[in-house]
Order: sequence, then structure tokens, then C-alpha cells
Amino acid sequence: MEAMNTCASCHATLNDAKLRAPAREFGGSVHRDDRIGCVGCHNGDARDPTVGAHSKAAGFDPHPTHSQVPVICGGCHSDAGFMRRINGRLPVGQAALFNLSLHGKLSAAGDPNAPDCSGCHGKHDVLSPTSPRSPVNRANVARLCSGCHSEETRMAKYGIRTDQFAKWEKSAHGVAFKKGNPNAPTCTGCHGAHASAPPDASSVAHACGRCHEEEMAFFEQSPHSQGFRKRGLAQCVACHSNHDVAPASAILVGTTPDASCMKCHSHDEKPRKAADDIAALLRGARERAAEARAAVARARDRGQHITGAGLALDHVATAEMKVRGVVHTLDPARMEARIGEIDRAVAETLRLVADAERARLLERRGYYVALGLAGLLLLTLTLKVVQLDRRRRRGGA
Amino acid sequence: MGSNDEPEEVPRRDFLGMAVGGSAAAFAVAGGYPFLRFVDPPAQQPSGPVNIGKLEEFPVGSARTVVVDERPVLVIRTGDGFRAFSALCTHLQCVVAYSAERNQIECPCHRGIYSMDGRNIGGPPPRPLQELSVTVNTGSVIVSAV
Repeated sequence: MEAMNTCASCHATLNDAKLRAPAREFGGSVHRDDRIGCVGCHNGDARDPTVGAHSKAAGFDPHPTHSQVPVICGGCHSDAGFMRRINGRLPVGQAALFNLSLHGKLSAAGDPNAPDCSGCHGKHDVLSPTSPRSPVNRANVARLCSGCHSEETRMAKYGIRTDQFAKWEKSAHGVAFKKGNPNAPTCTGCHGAHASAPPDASSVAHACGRCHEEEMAFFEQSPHSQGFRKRGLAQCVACHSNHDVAPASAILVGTTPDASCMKCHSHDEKPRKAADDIAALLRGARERAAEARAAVARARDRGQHITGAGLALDHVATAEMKVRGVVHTLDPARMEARIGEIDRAVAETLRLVADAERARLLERRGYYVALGLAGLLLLTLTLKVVQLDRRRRRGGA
Repeated sequence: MGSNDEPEEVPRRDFLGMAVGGSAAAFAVAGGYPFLRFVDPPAQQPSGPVNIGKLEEFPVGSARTVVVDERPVLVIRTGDGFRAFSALCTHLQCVVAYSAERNQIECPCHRGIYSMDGRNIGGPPPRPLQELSVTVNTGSVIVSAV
């Protein structure tokens, strides 16, 4: 069957590099399967080894238009039977999802700036998304999106900012992504891939809640949930920001100028007090947890091995993680219950360190006593030898 | 024969000299030992099997978190025997716990759920829990890395 596809073998021998490149690229792509071939997208008659292969009668189309591309790709990728035969692991709804997306709508309207399928996946050189060289591979997709979304002239027409990628790279998500955290989201983690759309103020919590499920549930139980909805505020984003989301930190809460609460409540007496109370609770817990970690670190620096200290600190970290979630309720009583877990874990850690320190001091005292006794014995024996020596010399004289 | 069988007398001065030398050596060793320990790296903790207690301390349906090779390990005794897993959630390293009521392992931080064979079956955990082997030897429960 491969011999029937004469397009690639002919184009590979052409003098014009522009016409040779597609044949070379196609040879390395996922579409090189002879059941697809060049005619899968361009039509024509691949059995004809001459230029007659470019038969208009056979529907040959060397340059599918922007709006035709999703239709051509969808022709195969929406055909469940065909896809099962070619690659049973691939879903078949991408074209339908793309048509729902903002990219798809703009592309269908003929907007040359909007990406079609080839804008992200490539043209003749389409690779599997699992290939590290694929532009849509998880490792590369943020840079792919940024290729258009960081371009000011291209985005100006839509009034879209161009600093998302730069902000994401420095954000908690971007830093975790660079460290190889498999849960850290890139652009598609929040915006979706084929059905990409920016979450709006009323839906952003659900985008965040796909990973931060507990935080979302607690937020919805808080007075903020209703208030944000009434005022059209963007849920999680109001405090955490979006692309430049900072690591969760107790300093988000409070009445200091950089605290998120002050964005809205700088002049409200009651919320200010609540923010202060919550900040004090968190600060106290953070300081006590830090004290426990420092105590274990000091013991390790002294060369002490404390059985169970690592587990106790793991319990401290677990309790701290649980507090992060419940903060979203803004309910000090619920927070205190979880802070109590931190305090118990801290107390257990400090008890282990204190026990180990007592044992170390006891061991050291025993050592000093033994060393003193050995020194005393040595001194006594030396004095006796000196005494005997003097007597011998006197007797000799 | 008679004079040869008598033990040879050690002069008192020589005996004291030996005692002084021995004491000095013991003193030097005792005094120098902490310095040797200081420059010598601490010994690695044993990585072999660890005895975590007697069989009767683990009733059926109970679980306990123990430390094996400096790592927290969740040991569960089911009706079929013992299972032991790393007690740190593969999501964000919170300490997981066994729920006898739901017969599953749960992470208290983000509702991660693992089946009784350690597979991540719910919530955000990206990977299964690492399993350790448990044996019972003459009434003692022994945990070791698989």
C-alpha cells in the first residue's frame, strides 16, 4: 500500500526545498500511516506517479484554508470507527470541543490570528502529544500558548494581556511545574485544551476546584461565597490572583498593607477584626510549627538521632496542610479545631526532642564521671610511683 | 622442678608502672573517643527488616503508623493478614490513615483515597502508595522494604 502513495517519494526528490520539506516532515509524523497518507488531508490521486496526482477531479487541495483545517482533521478524528482502527487510545471529540472554544469560533469566522488544529499540533510534522518534541506535550504547551499570547501586536486587537506566561513561570504553579510536579497546571490545566476558554468570575472556583477541591468546598461555605457572587468578584482570584498565583501563605490573611483582605476591607471594622483574629491564629500555629522543626534540626546538628521525630514532623505538616483548607471558611472556631491538631503534633515533637536531650545529658554526665574516675586513678598511681621512686633513691643513698 | 614451678614475682615497681601505663592508655582512649566520633560520620540507620511489635498488639481491623528506615509506614491488620504501605500521601506527603469503616486508606488533607492494596482510587494522589512486606516470625511482626 505504501508504494501507492507516490506523493512523498516524488516530493522528496524535488529541487525546491519548500516542496521537499513536507515529504521529510511527514515521514516522521504520526500520520505517516499508509491508511492516511498525504491524500488524507490534501486529496488528489496518490496512485498516479506523475503530476497528474494533483488532480482537481480527485479534489486535490494544496493549501486548505484556515477554516477548512478543523473540518479536515475532524473528518478522521471525529470518526470513532476509523480512530479505533488507527489509534484506539485517542478520543474522538476534539473537533466538536474545538468548535465550542473561543479559538474555534474565531477560526470558523476566518480570523487569521486564531489557531486551527495545525496552529498547535503542527502541519506535516504532527507528533503524538506524548512525544517530548511535540509542541502540545505537557512540557511544551505553556510555551506554545505563549507563542501567540505573549505577542502584543497579535493580542492588542482582542484586548488580552500578554504577561500571562511570564507571570505563570514565576507563580507557585509554574515553579512546581519546573520542579517536575505532575499535578502542577500549565495553561491547559485551567483553560482546557480543545475547548479552551477563560474561566469567568463565576466559574473560576470550579477551575481551581478541579485540584483544590477541599478549598473550594470550604470557600462555598464561607460568607465570601455569597458576597463575591453578588459583587461579581472572581472567587479564588480575588485573593490569590490568577496567572501569578503565589504560594499559599498566612500573610495573605491579616491587616498588613500587603494582605489580601485589605484589598476590600481596609475600612471595615468587623472584617478587619476577623482578619486580625485569623492572622493571629495562623501566625501562632506557624511559629509553633517552626519551633518544632528548629528543635529537631538543632538535635540533628548535635548528632542526635531521634526515633519518631520525622514522623512527628510529618504530622505537623499534615495538620498545617489541613488548616490551609479550613481558612477558606473564615470561621475561627473551625480553624481552632484544626490548629489544635498542629499543637498536639508540635507537643509530641518537642516531647521526643526533650526525651532525647535528657538521655544525651545523662549519657554525657556518665561519661564525665567515668573520665574523672579514670583520671583520678591515673593520678593516684602516678603519685604512688613517684613516692616509691623517692623511697628507693633515699634507701640507695 | 620445685623452684621452676613457683610463679615469677613481678616487682611492685614494675606492676605500678604497668598500672600507670594502662590507666594512661585508658584515659587517652576515653578522652579521645568523642573526638573520633565527632570526625566520623554518623552510622546509617539499619535498612533491614524491622520488628514493630508482638502479633497480639495488632488486633484484626486495626492499624498503626510506625517508623521503618526513618520513613512512616502504615501497618494494617486485615482478616487476610497484614498490609504495610508508605504512610505519606503521593500527592503532598500528608500522613494517610486507615478507615476501618470504609475499608480504605484516606488522606486527611485533600480527600485522597487508596484501596486496600495501595492503589490511588480517588482524589488528587497521582501514584499508588509504596508497599512494604510484612511477615510474622515467632509472634513478632516484621516489616521490610519489598
